[in-house]
Amino acid sequence: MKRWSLRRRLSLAVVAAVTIVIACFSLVLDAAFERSLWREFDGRLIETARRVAGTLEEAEDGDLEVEPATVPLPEPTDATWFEVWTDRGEVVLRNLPEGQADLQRQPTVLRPIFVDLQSPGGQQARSLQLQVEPHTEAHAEAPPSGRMVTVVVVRDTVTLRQEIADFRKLMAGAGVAAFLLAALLSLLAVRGALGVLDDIGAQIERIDSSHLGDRLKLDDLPSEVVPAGRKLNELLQRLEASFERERRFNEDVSHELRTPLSGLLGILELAAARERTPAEYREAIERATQVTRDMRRLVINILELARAESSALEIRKEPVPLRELVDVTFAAVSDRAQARKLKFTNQVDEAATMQSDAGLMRVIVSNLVSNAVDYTDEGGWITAESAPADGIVVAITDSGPALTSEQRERVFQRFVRLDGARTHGAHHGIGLSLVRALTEQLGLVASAEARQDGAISFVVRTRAQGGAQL
Amino acid sequence: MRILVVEDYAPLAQSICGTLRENGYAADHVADGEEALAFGQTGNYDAVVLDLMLPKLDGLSVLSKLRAQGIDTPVLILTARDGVRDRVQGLDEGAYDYLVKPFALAELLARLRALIRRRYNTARNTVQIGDLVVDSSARKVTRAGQLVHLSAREFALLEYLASRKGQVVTRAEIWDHVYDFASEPSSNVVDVYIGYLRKKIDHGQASRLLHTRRGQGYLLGEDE
Repeated sequence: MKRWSLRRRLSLAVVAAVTIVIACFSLVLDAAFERSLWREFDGRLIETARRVAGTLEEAEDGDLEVEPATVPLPEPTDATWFEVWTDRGEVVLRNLPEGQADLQRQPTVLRPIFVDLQSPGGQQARSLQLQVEPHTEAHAEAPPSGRMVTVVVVRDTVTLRQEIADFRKLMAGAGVAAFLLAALLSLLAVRGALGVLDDIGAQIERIDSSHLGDRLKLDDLPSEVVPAGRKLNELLQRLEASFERERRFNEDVSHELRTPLSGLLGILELAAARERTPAEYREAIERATQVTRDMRRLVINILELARAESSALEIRKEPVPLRELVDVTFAAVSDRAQARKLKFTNQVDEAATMQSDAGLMRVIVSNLVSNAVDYTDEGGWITAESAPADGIVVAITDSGPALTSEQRERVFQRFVRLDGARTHGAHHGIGLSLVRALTEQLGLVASAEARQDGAISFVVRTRAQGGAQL
Repeated sequence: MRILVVEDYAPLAQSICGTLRENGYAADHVADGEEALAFGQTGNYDAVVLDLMLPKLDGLSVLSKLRAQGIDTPVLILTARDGVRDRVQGLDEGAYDYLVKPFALAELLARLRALIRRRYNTARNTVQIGDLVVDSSARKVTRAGQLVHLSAREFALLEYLASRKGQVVTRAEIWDHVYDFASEPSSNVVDVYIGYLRKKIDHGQASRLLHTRRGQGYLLGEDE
């Protein structure tokens, strides 16, 4: 399909509109002018006819006499001819040269008759035929006889037609000039108005991944484009934020992987530095294995998080038995819990189930449980509870240390570790952000809440009853 | 030479300390910024290996606080970020050098040797006192062309005395720079090692290089 530029479309539309307006205006003006000229012409014919008739007077005996005219009657040199007949058909008065044929007469009717014909001079002309009652002598005593005379006046229309033709030429010239001027002005106006679009285009073109901080200047935009500009700025804002998040994520991932990798390399280099006893080698291998496990867990969590946040997550809902879920996840960390002398109680009801994705729920609960096992003060306790009726899917509570409300929100951010030294790098500050991302995907809400005596509860709720308290 | 290792990731800290000790350094390990500051303030260290991401107080703050207190111990920064900004910031705060994780332990050792050398104003890795040559990078000692076999601790002691050749070094200074907190505290351990060292480098030689200044300490140098 042919793509027309906005400028071209607008220009064509404006020029077409201007053409139509000028043409209509010219036609109307021309018609009005011509009509008024013809009227004036006819008016003069009538006036001439009355003047001619005015020179006739009906005597007392009924004869018509010609009085000397107070205003000179027209001559043939004025391209005006006249002739007057009595009702009996006798010519009373005329200005035609001797021997010239009578002027053309129309059937006698009372109203004035205008006819276009040829003048005695052989030119295009117009004639008026009028029935007039001649006036009587001023002192006459007899009543007027009521006899009428017929006056015919013929006048050349050559001059008039010439005037009309001249006027049309003038109109055409002015019309073309007006058209050209209007078209030029409207093209300039269109160009000027659309120039803003070019500016916007240039501004947008300058925005690339290294200039994501740039924004369209809304103050400079025409009002029609402001909503689009505002939307674009919002989009840029989000894009910039997401680029920044991505950049920080990459930086954090690289940091979190570089440190254990350095540790792994160190363990192996140190072990290989000289000949060692089998016990020393075994210890080095065990430590290297532990570091590798940490890294594996980190990598899996990072990939899970990326998947959860990309919303390409496949969710299969089925009834998930919650007590069993807690037991299974705790079993995986029970050694660590034992080593840290933590007392674990599963208070989730046997019958408690939840319609959700079993695999994702396991990731959520295992992150919460393993988090509690690593962060709870040694010798403390951990409790798992559930109250599906109140919208509480699962709550993992531990004896502390307590977290401030600011810390309770911060723990859900990526790569935030409140105390990295204590857990020997086993946690990478990614578990809870994974929990948050997954709960969101499942339509749930995860939060950390303070309990009595410094205890802290990590609660997963259904969205509808997010406000219910444990 | 005594090194303070500040690293919160335990497996890495263990490897660094392990390799330092096996190479004759004394190494103390701390895992957070506040402890690092407390230990660093003693000024007893010949160098500090400092991780930047630390609990409680970050590495750069530790560094600027130490410098503000006039502690000019050479600092080698360990960073997991390879951004130029981090490095420049570290060097601006007064770090002498930096290493980006993951690094090889051999490189860490080489950088530390360079730092310590600079601290004691020696341009080369070998120090010569008479016919005694102490080579820190090859960890080799010769006396009159003959190779002298030393234990790691003996080498560390000799290396420290050599770095301060011609000066009287007190027993307390030796304790601070050659031993770490892992060493058994004992009143005469320095004297015992000086005895071992003297036997290995001066025994059977025409001139003695290791002298005792009674009531002051020890001196490594040619007869005056």
